[in-house]
Amino acid sequence: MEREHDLDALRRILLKLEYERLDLLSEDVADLHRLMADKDALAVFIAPSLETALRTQIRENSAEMVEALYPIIGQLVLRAVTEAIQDLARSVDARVRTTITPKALLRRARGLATGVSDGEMSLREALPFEVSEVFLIHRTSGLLLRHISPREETAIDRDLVSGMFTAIRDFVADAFGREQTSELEMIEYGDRRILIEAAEHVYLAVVVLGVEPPGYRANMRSLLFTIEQRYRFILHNYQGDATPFETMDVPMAQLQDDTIAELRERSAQLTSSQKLIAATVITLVFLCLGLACWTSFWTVNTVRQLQNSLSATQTVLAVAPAQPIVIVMSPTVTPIPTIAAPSATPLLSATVTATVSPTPTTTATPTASPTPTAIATPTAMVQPTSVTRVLVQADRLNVRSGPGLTYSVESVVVRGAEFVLQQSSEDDAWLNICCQSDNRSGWIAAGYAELGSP
Amino acid sequence: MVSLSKKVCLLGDFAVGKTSLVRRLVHDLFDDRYISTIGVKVSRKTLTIARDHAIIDLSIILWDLAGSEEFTHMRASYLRGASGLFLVGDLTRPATITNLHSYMADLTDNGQRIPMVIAANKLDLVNTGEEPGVIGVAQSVATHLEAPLFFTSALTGNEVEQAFHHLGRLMV
Repeated sequence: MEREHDLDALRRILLKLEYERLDLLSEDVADLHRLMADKDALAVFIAPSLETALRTQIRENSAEMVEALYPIIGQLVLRAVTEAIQDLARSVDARVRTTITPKALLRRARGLATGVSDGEMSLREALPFEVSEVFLIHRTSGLLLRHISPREETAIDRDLVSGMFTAIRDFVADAFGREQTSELEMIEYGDRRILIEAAEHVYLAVVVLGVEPPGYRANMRSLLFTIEQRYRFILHNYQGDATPFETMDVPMAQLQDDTIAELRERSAQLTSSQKLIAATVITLVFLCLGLACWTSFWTVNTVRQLQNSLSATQTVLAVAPAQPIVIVMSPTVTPIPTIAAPSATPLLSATVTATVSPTPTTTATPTASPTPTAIATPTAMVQPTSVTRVLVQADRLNVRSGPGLTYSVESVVVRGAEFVLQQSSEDDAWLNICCQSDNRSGWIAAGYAELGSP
Repeated sequence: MVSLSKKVCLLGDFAVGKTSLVRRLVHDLFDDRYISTIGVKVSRKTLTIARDHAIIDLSIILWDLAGSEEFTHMRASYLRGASGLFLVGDLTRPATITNLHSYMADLTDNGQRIPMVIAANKLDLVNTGEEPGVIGVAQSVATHLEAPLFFTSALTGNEVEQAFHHLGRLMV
């Protein structure tokens, strides 16, 4: 036992250094165990090394890193984009569902007038627009006159922001030529923009998200005009007291909410000039419709009169003796009556000559007008047009095939029968009449018939 | 209490200590790199000044203009609308004090003289006893420009507050 103790003492003397190292190593291992048990402590411990390693890896093998991270980040990005598009689609769908409203119909009318499709207009209205802040700034000094923001807390002093805005405006003006009349109108960063409108002494800087509705800048200019008019003398020699501009808080706040809603509403309506054009177009349409109705009525009447006249001519032609008949047609082109030229000169005339046979089959057809706006009015004249009636005075009278007793008897007519005289024999003893029941003509003895007017 | 805001421009050659004076005076919000990018950085210093039995809460909007030559052409634009000038020269470089005359050419604000003070800066680096000449130069320039002279040190804060306060009183 004693010997064992001596050996141990000897071992400790010989291996003293190793024992100390073993103790230190044991402490280190114990620390590592504690570190492994405490996740937060482990994260803090390895974070710097990991960060350095990641930075080096990304810098040296960026393509591989992107490829490695794509399954994670790519999915997140895809999901975010998909959700955004779905939101937009839902918004557009909601608008499309209301397409029968007067507002939607007006939007379509505006789309037709401007060449922008209804879908694009719906999409435009569905896009978000939000005003974050409104600055009213003294132009030359860059001093903030008023500031409106829905958020009470702002990270940076707005007096300094307005100063920097002014410095940037001056910088841009100097960098690109102050002699030019154009000024910095917008600063864009990410999805936010700063709309800038300047007047003589002041300018407005409006921080917005999205695309402003039509007419928003006009409202900004209108507000600037009001401010310039109201505070001209103060602004001309501004001494740094912004108290008088407190009254502009309300109109400036309207640039945030009321104006947007109003402009959205107004953008769906027609402007005064558009209303005037629409009213003119509607009036013209009604005028044209009325004129078309009147023209149709007039045309129908004229055609009817023409048809009646032609029917009468046909009748005359049918009963007249076999002699040349000249039909003179004078189509008169009458233009559509207008206020400026109520009486128009005939533009077209034509003469038609026709020889009609004893058995009339010819039908005169009026010439169609060359254009739908011109109506032809034919006027027919028959020369000669006298008709002689033949009344049978005998109880039974032979109708022969020629003027004389030697001609065969074709038929017999009775007293009171009435015919139309076509011609007479040279000695006027025989009359050629028309028309019998079989629609033929024949000759009767003149002494047994009486001539008269129809 | 009346609240007023005034634009004050800090002018001086490159490295005379303008930005250091501003840092001494105010808690900076914007990074100094704005000075090297667009040639200016804006800060604010609020002073309370008694004037005619009234307390004026004066907000000085400090435009710290770059002293380097590449922004010389911007200076006139940045000076427009300024109500006061804080001219800064470096006591270790007397030329930067005499150069203060040249900045007057850019002050064309209706020909009106605007309040100004001169800060002969870096006093901590100068042994006034051994280098009386530079003090004389500063006094001579101040007399010529008819502006109060302050011997300032951004390091120790010597007369910095007083210089700004004096300018504030001149402006209201």
